[in-house]
Amino acid sequence: MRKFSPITFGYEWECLLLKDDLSLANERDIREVANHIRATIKGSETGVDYIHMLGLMLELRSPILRNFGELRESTATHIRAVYDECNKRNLLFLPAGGHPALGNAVGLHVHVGSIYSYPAATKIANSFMRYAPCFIALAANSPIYGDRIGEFKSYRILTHADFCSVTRLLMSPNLAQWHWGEDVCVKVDWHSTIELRVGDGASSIEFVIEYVAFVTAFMLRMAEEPLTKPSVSQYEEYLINRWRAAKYGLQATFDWDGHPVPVADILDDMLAMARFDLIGVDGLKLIPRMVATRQTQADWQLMLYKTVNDTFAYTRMLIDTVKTDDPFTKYIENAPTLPVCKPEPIENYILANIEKETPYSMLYDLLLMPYGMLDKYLNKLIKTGHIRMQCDPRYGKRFTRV
Amino acid sequence: MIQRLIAEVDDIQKLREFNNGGVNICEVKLKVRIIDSILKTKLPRGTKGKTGIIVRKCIHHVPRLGDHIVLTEDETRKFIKADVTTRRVLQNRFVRVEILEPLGARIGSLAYKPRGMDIFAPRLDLQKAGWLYYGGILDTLSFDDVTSLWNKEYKYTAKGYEYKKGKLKLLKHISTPRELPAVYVDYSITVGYKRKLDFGHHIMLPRHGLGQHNIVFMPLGDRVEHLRYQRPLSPWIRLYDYSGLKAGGFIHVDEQRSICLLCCAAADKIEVVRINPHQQGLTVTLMFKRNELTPTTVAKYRVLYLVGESFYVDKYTVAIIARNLVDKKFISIVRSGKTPSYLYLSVHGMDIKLKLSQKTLPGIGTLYVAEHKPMLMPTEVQIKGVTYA
Repeated sequence: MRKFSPITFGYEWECLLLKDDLSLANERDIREVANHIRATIKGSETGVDYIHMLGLMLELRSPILRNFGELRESTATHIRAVYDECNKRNLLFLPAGGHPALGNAVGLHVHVGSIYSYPAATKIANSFMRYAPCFIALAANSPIYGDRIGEFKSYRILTHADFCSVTRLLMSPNLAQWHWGEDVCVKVDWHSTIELRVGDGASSIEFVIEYVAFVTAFMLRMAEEPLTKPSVSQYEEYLINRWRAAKYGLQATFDWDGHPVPVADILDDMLAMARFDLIGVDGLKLIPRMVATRQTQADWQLMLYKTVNDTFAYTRMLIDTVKTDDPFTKYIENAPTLPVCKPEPIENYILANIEKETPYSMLYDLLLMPYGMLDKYLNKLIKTGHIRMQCDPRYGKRFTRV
Repeated sequence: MIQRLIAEVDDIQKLREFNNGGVNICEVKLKVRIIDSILKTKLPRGTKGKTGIIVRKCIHHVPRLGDHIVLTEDETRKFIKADVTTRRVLQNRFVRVEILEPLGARIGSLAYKPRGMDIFAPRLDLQKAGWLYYGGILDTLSFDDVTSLWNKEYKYTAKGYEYKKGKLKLLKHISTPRELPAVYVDYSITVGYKRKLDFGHHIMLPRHGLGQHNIVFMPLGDRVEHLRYQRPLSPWIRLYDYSGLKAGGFIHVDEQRSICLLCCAAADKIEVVRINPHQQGLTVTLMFKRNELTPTTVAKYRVLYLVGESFYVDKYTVAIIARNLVDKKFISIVRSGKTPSYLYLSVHGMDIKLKLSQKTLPGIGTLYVAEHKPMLMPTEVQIKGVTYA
């Protein structure tokens, strides 16, 4: 018996609607655009979501989809409707992983269903978890994030999407509970789905279509596999690979069952495994080309950014560029192949974030790594004389670089 | 600090097309006309409508006639030299202060002259109200909406900077005393009817260069509290409230740049100091106790900011030391909840004991001051401690 029955899927594609001065559009205007789209596109669940303390963003929510044809049709219809509504209201439409001049999390979430057993969905999510960093690498699209530029390809994931895409807790299926914003989030209680929240908001329509299809087809395949709970070492690999995916995108090398493997090779295997046939896909074009060249939307954005080197001017330029006929797809056709990057040790990243009296909690926030695992790296840094630890009854453990 | 201008494309001339690593690039010369700005303040006169030429490399998309574009920082500088031309400068031998009238008549720059360092350097930041400048010292009339006066234009009059809204009238006078590394900010506020008035100062230290070497100390009588800045990963708000400031003040220290800012006011008037280390920077809000006003009463407040290069703090006291390059002297200023009598300095590795003299400032209270003229001007001088009477 199939675990997903009937097979359904959909997406929440968060996007920014801005004014001419690149500030967020009025909340009323954004709600009006969302309401109009929902009213005119059959089944669309489009609405709004909050940007912490600042206002709203538009969330293009597909209807419940059953096959690739519906996905393509629905996405194209939504995009046409957004541009029409924005033109009427003199708003600017910015689909990306964040506002480049501001740095805030904007995501692309994929839901796969229908599944009605929480423990069964938890088993699938547990197994799927180690593949989440592969999708992070693929969807990386937030390399310009306020005053942080180019060191990471997904600053959104580096900052855990403002804590709305956090590492998955490893739970026994029978003891599993709902936990906010996990990378792979069981939503059997809210809907009938497992949600992958790791994707950066995309700038390419074709990417959205292929990414949603790929996530769905791969999750359907996972559900057919014998489901195993990841080991502690696999869980640690997931956390480290997550960080590497955010930093290097498709140029990353992952730790995979104790061996270094380029993420592009893992994605190649995943593409071969995915059950595209179950959702009526003949094959993908854009994603295999991205994997072959190790190019992401983040690399494309960084290439564009270099022409102006200014986050404000760039934000406007990106808005105007994505309006044209899916420029990322055109770029990828002739894009050069990028090399595989040798990963930087994770302890270097931890050390770079320790200055004076750095609280333990802040170091936890960096990777959302269980404290027992984090201690291993901190003890290593203490042993090698890079940091020292202070214990204070009021503030707990704090760390200072030597 | 510079904002960005929005321009309309009036003319386009293609200069050349070339291919770089598989990417087609088109270099164009654009004639642009300024139509607006990112920050909604009054632009320098003559900026709107100004035309000029910029050259851009375009990939995928070449702007068309009538398109709006945002100019880069360098391109913006071709049209304006500074965002706010209506700024006033005050200075003495220690400090240089810039007041930005269209931005809430804030103290937008406070530089310690002997080191040429500015404590604030505002940056553009998006808030619910739109783009704003984050950085400087602002007035606030609300505990919860501290940004209400961020971009409000104050009128400069002979009596000071004036802000009016309905019956509310706020008059602010900013001055730099000759003998101190300090800025005074005096207020007279009338509301025209019976109401409770909340008033405070909002100090915004922007995050560029702001790291864990930035720290705020508060003497609370039974202990010294300190809060070190950590840039949070999330945009969530974390607030730390401190009440019972015995010395009527607190000190912000930038350990990396060796520059300190001591803020003080009448201790019995301060309700709370709220610190908010957030992604944009470190914000310290000094709120005064609520004041019940009638149509005829005038609320008066005074805040003093002292700048220096070295500091001392214990549970009763904050102290700061600044150098005066003209007289080649050091001046130490102590603010305390007790009565200090002597101050100990370390100059060239030698300990020096100085007698403190009282200086009473109306609206602030007592400061204790000592001056020292070393034989040679040292690169570093430290306050080792104080003794109490």
